[in-house]
Amino acid sequence: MLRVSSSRDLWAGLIYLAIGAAGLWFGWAYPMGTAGRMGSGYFPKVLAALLIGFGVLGVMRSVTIESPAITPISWRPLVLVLLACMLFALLLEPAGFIVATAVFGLTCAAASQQFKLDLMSLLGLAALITVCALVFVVGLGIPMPLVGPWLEPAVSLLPFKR
Amino acid sequence: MKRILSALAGAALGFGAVASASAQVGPGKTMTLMVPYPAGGLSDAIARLLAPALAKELGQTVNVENLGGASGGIAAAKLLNTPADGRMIFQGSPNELILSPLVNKDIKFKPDQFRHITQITQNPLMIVLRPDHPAKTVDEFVEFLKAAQKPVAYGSVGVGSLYHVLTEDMAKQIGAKVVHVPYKGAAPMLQDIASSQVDFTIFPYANSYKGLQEQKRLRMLAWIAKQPNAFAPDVAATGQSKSLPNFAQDIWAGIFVRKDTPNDVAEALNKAMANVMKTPEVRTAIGNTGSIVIDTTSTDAADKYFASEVAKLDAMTKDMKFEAQ
Amino acid sequence: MDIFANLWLGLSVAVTPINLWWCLVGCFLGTAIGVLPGLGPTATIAMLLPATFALEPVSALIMMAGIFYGAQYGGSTTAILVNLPGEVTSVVTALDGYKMARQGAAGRALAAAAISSFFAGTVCTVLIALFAPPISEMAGQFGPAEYFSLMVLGLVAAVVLANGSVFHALAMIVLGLFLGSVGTDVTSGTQRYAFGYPDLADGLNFVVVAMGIFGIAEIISNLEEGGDTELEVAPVKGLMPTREDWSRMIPSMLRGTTIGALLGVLPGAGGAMASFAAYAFEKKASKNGHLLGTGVIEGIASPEAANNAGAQMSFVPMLTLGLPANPVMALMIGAMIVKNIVPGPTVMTAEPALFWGLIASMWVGNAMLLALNLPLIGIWVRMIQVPYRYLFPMIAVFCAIGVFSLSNTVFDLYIMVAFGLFGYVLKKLGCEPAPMLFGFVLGAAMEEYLRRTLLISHGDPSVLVTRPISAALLGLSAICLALILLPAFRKTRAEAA
Repeated sequence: MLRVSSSRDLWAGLIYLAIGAAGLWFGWAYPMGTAGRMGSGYFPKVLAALLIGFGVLGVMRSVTIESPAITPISWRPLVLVLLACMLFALLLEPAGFIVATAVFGLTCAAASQQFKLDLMSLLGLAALITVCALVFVVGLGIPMPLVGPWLEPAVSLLPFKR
Repeated sequence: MKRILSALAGAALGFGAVASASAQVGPGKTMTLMVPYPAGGLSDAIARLLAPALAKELGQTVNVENLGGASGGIAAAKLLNTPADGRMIFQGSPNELILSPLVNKDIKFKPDQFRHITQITQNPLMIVLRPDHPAKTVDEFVEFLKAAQKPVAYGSVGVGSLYHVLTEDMAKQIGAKVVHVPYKGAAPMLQDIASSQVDFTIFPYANSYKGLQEQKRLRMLAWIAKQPNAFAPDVAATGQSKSLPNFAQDIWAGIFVRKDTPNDVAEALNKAMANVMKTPEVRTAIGNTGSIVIDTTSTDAADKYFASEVAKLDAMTKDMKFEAQ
Repeated sequence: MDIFANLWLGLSVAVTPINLWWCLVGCFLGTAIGVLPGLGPTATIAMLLPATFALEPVSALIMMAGIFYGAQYGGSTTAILVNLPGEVTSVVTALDGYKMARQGAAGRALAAAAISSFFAGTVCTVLIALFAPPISEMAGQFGPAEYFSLMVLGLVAAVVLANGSVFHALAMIVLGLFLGSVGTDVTSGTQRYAFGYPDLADGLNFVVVAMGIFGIAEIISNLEEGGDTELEVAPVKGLMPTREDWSRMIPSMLRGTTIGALLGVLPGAGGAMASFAAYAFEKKASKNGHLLGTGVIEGIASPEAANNAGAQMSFVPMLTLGLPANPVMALMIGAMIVKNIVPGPTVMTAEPALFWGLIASMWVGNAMLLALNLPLIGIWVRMIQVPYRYLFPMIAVFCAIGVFSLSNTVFDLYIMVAFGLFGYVLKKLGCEPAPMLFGFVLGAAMEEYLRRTLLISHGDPSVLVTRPISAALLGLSAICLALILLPAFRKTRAEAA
């Protein structure tokens, strides 16, 4: 009975295998050409095959060598930080930079176990948004709308003009 | 999906319909001049010259937006996704609007989705040789291509660029075989010309060629035109040769909007551009780049010119197989 | 000798108050944008281009050059402080720099980076002044075959970058090379692994991948169960290098400068490879080489010197031939053209004041950057002592804005998220990402050069070994690979037994 003594190698090997296999699968139609006159498929498919080789070796290593166990996955930061980035990407164009950054900053901050919504953090967030808006959007002219089309009707009701 | 969400958001906030963008070129609005390349190229420099002049002319802010990628395809797609109100104008050339959709099957737009407002610059093309190339004239060069034991290698700045298409067309005319060696940009290509890795290239003229020729880093063989160009009048033209008398082409850039832009907006933009292109500062600055400033024509003439270029390049690329390399 | 007259002319141009001022503005702006990940010198210079039209050509070029090497200085700052390498070249600086910062030695690390950069900048200014034309002649010897072989050597060097298992380092390099094939294949013009997204037509952007794998993944793993309470940085011990630091830095600086100067001459490939190659060399050449990666000063001095030397030398093809080695050089050429100066070999004779003024200003600028950066160290060091729960959302926001600003599209943000996840998984599995990034950077270019070599030789691969420079590089790679693999092989066998 084989015993997996290095789960790190097992998983890394499986990842190499999966990426290599995907590379071959999706790249199957790219022409190989010949070694002297390579087609667009030659390089990626050779690399994908090599990756599969590394994957097989990795799985084999997992029963022959010892490595420390994988530390447990911390789901809270993983999910919240990635979600925050996704929300920023989703909101940036329709809702504008200010809203997107506020949502981003709050979601991201919630990933910390010490997160608490106090006045200090809110002020910090407001300062961060202001500085970034001034530097990047106004100063450097990166084409991000400060206020996106979702909120334009709301802004037009305000008593002052932008 | 986006539209549904925005409608929902509008309704939830109690504002009903989202106000539609007004179809007006005029004071108080912000315009975007779209450059289909990352910041830094020559076309970007020209756009940054044009933008302030155009802003003054129209009395509104004109921002330059650089959106590179997919040989200009991403920027062109973005233009087609914005309202047809003339608030986004596109500075483009046949490379991205005509050839890119022909080469890249992931690009879904067609040249006829754009309206040509006016031409702005024109760049004459040249045949440039490696410095130690034996051919002295166009006719000798053509002989060299035909007599070569193995196909002669030439450089270009990419599959499906005008220079690639044009060289293949020339080879077909004279019945020679050539090998296309694509590069990612002019600099590495000219390096390989200088070290004689490739034999020749067809490329727009630049003022630096004279210095490079003196230093034996390249040799200007001929203008691809009926007559030599005033930038270097002592270099012959293909039109004067026996073997390629009808080989003439240049590369140009113009301002484009969506095809369905209202006529009055297009005319207003055309008029504004005409005034911009008359200002001496803009003319000298563009002239310094080695480009020829083109006097603005009517929108009709611009449209006809664009249509004729589309037809010409379409015919040239008909029997080229881009994928089979 | 002419050279002194020329340099004197250059200095007299560079130290006029107006040029000093624009040099300072450039250096300051460059440092500022270098510190922010993503937003690079190219975008900044492009935005400032219209403003420079009003300046004298030499002032405009001096300012642009200042932005360029200022950004090199600034880039290492974020790499060291918060493990955010905004450019290819600072990936290796982050390896030891970030560890030093965590150990409370951020001040010494930053100072080492600034001093090494200054040293390399000074040496290279002299080199350019003395040898610019012959250097560009030498670069002309490099055709596609030589570039390919050079990259093979670079890949072998990348194996050395990993501290852990050679097996995984090799696998990660192959994975990186594979990722490099995403996008339009230059040689055939076909799209690979783009899945119909035009956004992928130009491949994955290095900064996006690096921000995901380093920036985002680092944040997630720092926040692991209670991790953010322990993350308090060790108290800072001294801002300036100690006497011992100096004696360790100087040989590393010399090695780094040499490697950077040699590789920087080669347009395109050189700049990115310089710092990697210097780091890999340092691992073998320095007496503390085995400690590299644990947070030692040699691991900063050498790649930073190489990086700056490479950046400085990339001016050579632009100055002597009018051919840009990178987008910043292309912008400088654009500025010259608009000013009615014909870039190319004639600049040196037709515009001696501009040519030598620019060269002299490089040294002046490097000195300014040193003067500007050393006092800033105190402020930077205080910044990372902000509690992590306040710091990390800021880092994440800067990452996201930086990634967006690369090509003004949110698509890149999703790619960053994907690589953030992937980077976290790699961390869990103990696979080091640096070799992968290096493989990624070289992958597309390597394939391009190999296929170009074969196109030109009509399919005959023997040119790789019949051209002397290429053959020498490949031979060197084989020797290095043997040296790396043999001990590792022996070790594995010893473990198995």
